Amino acid sequence: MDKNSPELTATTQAEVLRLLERCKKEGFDHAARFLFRHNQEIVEIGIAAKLEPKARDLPSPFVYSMQ
Amino acid sequence: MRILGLSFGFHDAAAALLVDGHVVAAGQEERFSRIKHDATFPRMSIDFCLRQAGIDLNDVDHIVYYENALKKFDRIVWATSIRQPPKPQAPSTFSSKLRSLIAPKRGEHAENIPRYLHSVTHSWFKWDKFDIVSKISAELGVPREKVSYVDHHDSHLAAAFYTSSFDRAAIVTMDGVGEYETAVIAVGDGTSIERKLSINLPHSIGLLYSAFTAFLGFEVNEGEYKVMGMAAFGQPKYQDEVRKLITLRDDGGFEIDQSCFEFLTPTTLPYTEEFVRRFGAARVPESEFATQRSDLPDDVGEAEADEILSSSRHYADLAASVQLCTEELVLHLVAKAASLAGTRNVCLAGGVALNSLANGRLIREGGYNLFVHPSAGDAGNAIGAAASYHHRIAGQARMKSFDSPYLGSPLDETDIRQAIEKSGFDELIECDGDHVLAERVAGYLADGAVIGWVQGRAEWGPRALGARSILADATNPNMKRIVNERVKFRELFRPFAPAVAIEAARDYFEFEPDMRTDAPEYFMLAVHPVRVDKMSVIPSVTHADGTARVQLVSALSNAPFYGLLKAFERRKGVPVLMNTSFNLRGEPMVDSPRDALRTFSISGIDYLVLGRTIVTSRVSL
Repeated sequence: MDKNSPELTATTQAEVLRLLERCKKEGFDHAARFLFRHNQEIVEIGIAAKLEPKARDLPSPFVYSMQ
Repeated sequence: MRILGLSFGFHDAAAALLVDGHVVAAGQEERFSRIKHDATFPRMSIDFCLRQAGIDLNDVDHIVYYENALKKFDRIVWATSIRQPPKPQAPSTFSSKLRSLIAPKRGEHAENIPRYLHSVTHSWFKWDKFDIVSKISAELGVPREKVSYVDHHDSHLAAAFYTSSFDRAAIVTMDGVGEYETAVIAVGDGTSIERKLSINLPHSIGLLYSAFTAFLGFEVNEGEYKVMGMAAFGQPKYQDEVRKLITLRDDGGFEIDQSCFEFLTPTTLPYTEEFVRRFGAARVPESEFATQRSDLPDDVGEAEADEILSSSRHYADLAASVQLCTEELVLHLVAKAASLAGTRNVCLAGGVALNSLANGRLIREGGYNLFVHPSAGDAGNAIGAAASYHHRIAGQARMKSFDSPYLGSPLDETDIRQAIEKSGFDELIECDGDHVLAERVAGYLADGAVIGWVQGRAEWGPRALGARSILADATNPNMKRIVNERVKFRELFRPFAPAVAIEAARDYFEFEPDMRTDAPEYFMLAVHPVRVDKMSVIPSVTHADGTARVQLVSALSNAPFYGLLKAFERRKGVPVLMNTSFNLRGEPMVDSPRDALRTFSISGIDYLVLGRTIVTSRVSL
């Protein structure tokens, strides 16, 4: 699959929408606003991330991983 | 009821299996994958737990993840917005009118996503972190209905209280950060846990300590115990400066002055320029540390030695200062928790609970009956998540208290044979019985040998407790340097812990041994002073400040190890051995005979003991 795949785009859009609905339902307003306001960019990030090989990007060893 | 608890995705992935309220197996992924702090989906740990119980996934009633991923993401977005205030936002109601006002048009972006948040979002998509239930369901091929999650500190609270032997206790959890919470005070009673106080990001003891850990040149989430070790060489000269950063509140809470820290959106370093202005330049990672000439490598010249000694004293003083203030903070939280609970029974979990210096003070000065979950960090939340579900959702009876930390891989005789055969080591000594083994190994130890000791099931938690240990003679004054330099290849200042036969503990150390076999000293989680008259008797395990992180050993807690201590006592008159984790610097503890043989082959260990088989260091070519 490539980044222009309609299937991948549709899947990711649906995923972001589901996340948005869950955030609204569970009262996670910060995340909900973010997912809503940046919807299209987030879908693009999601598509790029899903296509990327799964080699772990290690954070700086001198920073507590808060993610 | 069979409940599988999982922790993964951030650091220290692990799995634990609870069967009818009994933890039958628990394993950390790093032990199997051989990748230190492995955070990936703990497939090997899960397989181990199921194998150990003789069941498969179809037999598991429920699977529980250790935190609320989406709530954590909500916090990350919130934290980013604090650092980089966004343009006016729509309220959470998302009315259609507002929707039309702020929704981006097709092909355009409303505004740029801050880089930190962009990177987190990317990473979360990449590793499927947003919908953890779907991820687990897909990874294991189980229905979504079988999977759920609990909050991060609920997992810590459950790991701390339900696995203890207390019917009622104060509970304090402290770590870097979970979703929003960084510390919680609660009261445990029977099967219930009632929260009394939560402290949220950015106020965090764990992150405060981590910031100093990074400043002192050590890796965060790994080097905190090195800071504890370093503290012994210094004086708390900067305690007032560090105290200024912390405000203790009357309600038991605390606040951290944020001017010195970057806790909200850390990317490269967790401290600020203001921190450097107050405390000076950061220590260069991997640089030499020594407060006396004899601790420096022989090839260091006089001028360089003077410079190292001077800067080392400064960093040691800083370590002593942050350690002292952390202890004060922990004592403050625990005092409030105990007062709210109306009991001296106290349960701790969260990474900060591994601060064994603070734990020692809680026991000696606070007079608390302490229980610290042996795997107090996030790996321990695999048990915590399962325990929380067992009590609070499934409504089951109180689980069995946690009386043994030996929940990991068993030592299998066939594995031993096969691993030895493949290794090329061919000089073996088979011992007929534990007594014969103990006498022979005690003889080697008394003669100055360093022993790799692999017995029974592996330990749960970061401390080696006589199942996957490197052992040596605590009475030999050169042994600390020998093991640091030639065996573990690590910094020379690093201290080693003693294991002591229970009945001799008060002869050597200044504390009253607790008869509960789940007391912190059985899990090597409390530091106590060495008696003055014994410091010269066990010099290799007496730290620079005259303390030691003691492990109590009894026939009940670990029979083969206790037998070895007694056999050593018959040789040397001292029932104390140096006990350090069986690993090399930067590697996870060994788990299998194969791991042990590999480490044995590349280190300065003299004899490897696998069950009742002794392997010498000679290899046939």
